[in-house]
Amino acid sequence: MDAALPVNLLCGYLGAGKTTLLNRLLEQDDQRILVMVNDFGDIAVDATMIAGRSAETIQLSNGCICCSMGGGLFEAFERALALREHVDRLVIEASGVAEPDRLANFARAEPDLDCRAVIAVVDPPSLADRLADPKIGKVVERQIAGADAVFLSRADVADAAAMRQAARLVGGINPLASQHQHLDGGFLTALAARHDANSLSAMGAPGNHQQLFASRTIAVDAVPNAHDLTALLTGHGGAIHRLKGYVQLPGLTQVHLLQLAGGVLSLEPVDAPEGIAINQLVAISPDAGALATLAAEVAASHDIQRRS
Amino acid sequence: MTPTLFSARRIITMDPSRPEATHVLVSGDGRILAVGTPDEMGDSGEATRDDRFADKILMPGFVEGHAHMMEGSVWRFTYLGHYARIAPDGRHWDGITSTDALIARLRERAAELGDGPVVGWGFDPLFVPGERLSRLDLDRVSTTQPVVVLHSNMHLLTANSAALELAGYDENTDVPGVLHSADGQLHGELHEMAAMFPVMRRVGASFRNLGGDPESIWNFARSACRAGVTTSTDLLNDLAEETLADLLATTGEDGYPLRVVPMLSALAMPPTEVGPRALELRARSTDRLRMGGVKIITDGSIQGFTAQLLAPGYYRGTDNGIWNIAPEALNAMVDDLNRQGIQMHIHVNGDGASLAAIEALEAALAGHFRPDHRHTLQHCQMADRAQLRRIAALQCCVNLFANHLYYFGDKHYEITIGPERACRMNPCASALELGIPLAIHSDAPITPLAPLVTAWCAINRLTDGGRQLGTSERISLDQALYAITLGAAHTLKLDAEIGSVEVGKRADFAVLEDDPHALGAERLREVRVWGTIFGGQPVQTGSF
Repeated sequence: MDAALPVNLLCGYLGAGKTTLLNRLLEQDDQRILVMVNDFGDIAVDATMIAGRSAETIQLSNGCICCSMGGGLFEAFERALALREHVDRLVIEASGVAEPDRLANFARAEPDLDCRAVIAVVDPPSLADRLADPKIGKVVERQIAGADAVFLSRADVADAAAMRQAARLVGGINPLASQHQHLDGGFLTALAARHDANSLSAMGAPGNHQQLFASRTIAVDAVPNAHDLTALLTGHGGAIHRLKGYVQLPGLTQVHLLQLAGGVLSLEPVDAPEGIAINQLVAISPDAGALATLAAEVAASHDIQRRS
Repeated sequence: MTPTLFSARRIITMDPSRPEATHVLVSGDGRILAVGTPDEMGDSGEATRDDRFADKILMPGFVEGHAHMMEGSVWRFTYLGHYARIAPDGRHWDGITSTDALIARLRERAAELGDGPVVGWGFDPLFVPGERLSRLDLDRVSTTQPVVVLHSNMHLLTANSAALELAGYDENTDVPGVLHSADGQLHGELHEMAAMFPVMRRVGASFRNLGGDPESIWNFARSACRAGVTTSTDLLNDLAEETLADLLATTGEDGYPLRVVPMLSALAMPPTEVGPRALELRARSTDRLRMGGVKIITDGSIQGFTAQLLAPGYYRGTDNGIWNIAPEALNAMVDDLNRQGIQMHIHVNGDGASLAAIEALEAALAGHFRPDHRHTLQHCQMADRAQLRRIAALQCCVNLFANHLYYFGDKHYEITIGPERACRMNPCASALELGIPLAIHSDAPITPLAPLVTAWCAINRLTDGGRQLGTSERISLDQALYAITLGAAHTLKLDAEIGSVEVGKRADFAVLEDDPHALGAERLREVRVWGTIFGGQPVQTGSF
């Protein structure tokens, strides 16, 4: 029996740049990629271009990929699984109105599939309008909320203000997702990571599914310095499933991105998206009590600072 | 071939110039030559007399404007629904009212099958008292054969331990939709396709296989005959060449007694190919297979909370509204197909979806008005009078889901959309008052294929629980009979050929044991159906 087939989902509303990204991914990546396209409705699809580069393209009928009464999703997955030994990775370009959590669940539930990162692609100049659209605003929001990583298209042509505004909007909806503007090593690393459904659902509206994980926002602006904070967090590494936030603290010369993922804590200098909350950490854990303990310890370090 | 002269206790013609008759003369090629009294049969000297219906009622063959071929195929699985139902083969299935009855029926099926998976369909836990059906209950059917019970909404299933094991599910499985009991063990209930897929593919119960093989196409005609239906839509079909070949061959067989009207799924191919394919299919139509129309699905279902609702949204429960097509893509598609002269049937359940369709049609028709386009909003359950006025101005048709009032009405009133909107949903009277051509439908197999029951629902607006969903949207008996004959034929552009008993039209009849007018509006659903006459040939229920 072959190992489970890794799957990436590429979501994003019409015109977000999914196909462009996919084509560039196929140019760069030396893996054998099987592409499943569920996007007849898109305006700029170039299925033949995709087909020319990938191992095979499965054309999936448009429509309800989520409930698939007529969509042929069963058949498409059967075909994909039948090609397992010839391909290294399946990339599904979802329809413009597909919602990632519903789609990702297929890959999570099926033992023959291995659900890797869900990518939301957004078009920065139009993002604010899309989110405000009464018809599709919720769809676009759920696409971003359900993604492990968000790719902001058109970094080469969009103006800087639009990119900053989009980054801020994305960060507001999904502070956990990594943001990318270029198909670089960072993006490829994000693409290969496992889909972190538990963290994303902990961030989402409660009661949607069985809520197995809890999330909590923890303010760290009064922590004495960066070293104390990382020391404190390292002590909780086992209990905290995921943590992310932009920090600017004594001991750091500029804004840093603080992350805990897979038990590894990292602190890297970054250009924070304009308007993003600084010194607010989002922490996810299966144990709400562990989050409370962490928050209390952070608060206690504030008190220490105040007293000193 | 010589003509046949049929006599009947009463013929309800739906032709206002001659509403009633006792005799009808039918040509050898299945056309109506004369309608009236024995004296008005013209040159019928050499006609064969057929008096077998002398004590029966004839009506124009009923037209089901929104059903699915799946009605013919889903019966390969074991029926487990709450309502008693008759299979295409005539077998009467009692409704399932207890877990024990369900187990007994599945055990019987498991024994028939020997090994192999046992699959049931149509189950609704809301109607079965006691603990919710679980893996442990189904283990009583078999601990070795996989047993899978599909729920009536097709979005849930319950599996036994053997089936769950096939899918690799165990107590450690952490996937949304895979339910666990309080003790941490698997419960057996799986929610939504993602969680259901691993089980369904391994027991061979995929919906993909529920399409139009020849046996299903024949079963569809069997179900139709039982309901007095001589023309039925199959309202979503990808109409790939392979499917089409089966449809053409099977409906073309001698004695196939149904006119099938499949609608091409607009989402089954790239948008630019839809129009040319629809035009090609139109040209390849036969008497019994009428193609050329296109179906576009916009949102989901109200009872599944996946319909697109305008504010204030759902009454209780979480809004999981989905779009199957992006509104902008809908605009482009509607405009494109309208320009090409292709009739569209647009699935819209929630009022957010009907609004999107109305806006798309307004833009398309403003740019390119086609007289008598007959674009039809399907389901259109929540359109209010303001939306209906716009639909009337667009000269569109509506095909309303009257059966929902009975089968899901209590749920809509109490849970999904609340009292006010439930009492005006499926607004048949408003549609007629505003001059909108009206059809009503079953969406079989979602609810049973039975136009007289659908008519009863639209007339009485009673729920299964006995609640009346408003009185202002009730329609009269004659209006309802029109909706299931000429009304539905109008939405299919077949009203010049079928839908009424008139000289020159096709000799398609519903043959009834009871007179709808004699039984009256309140008892209309009790009318017994003998069968049909299709193209002049009597076809008794259960005879094929």
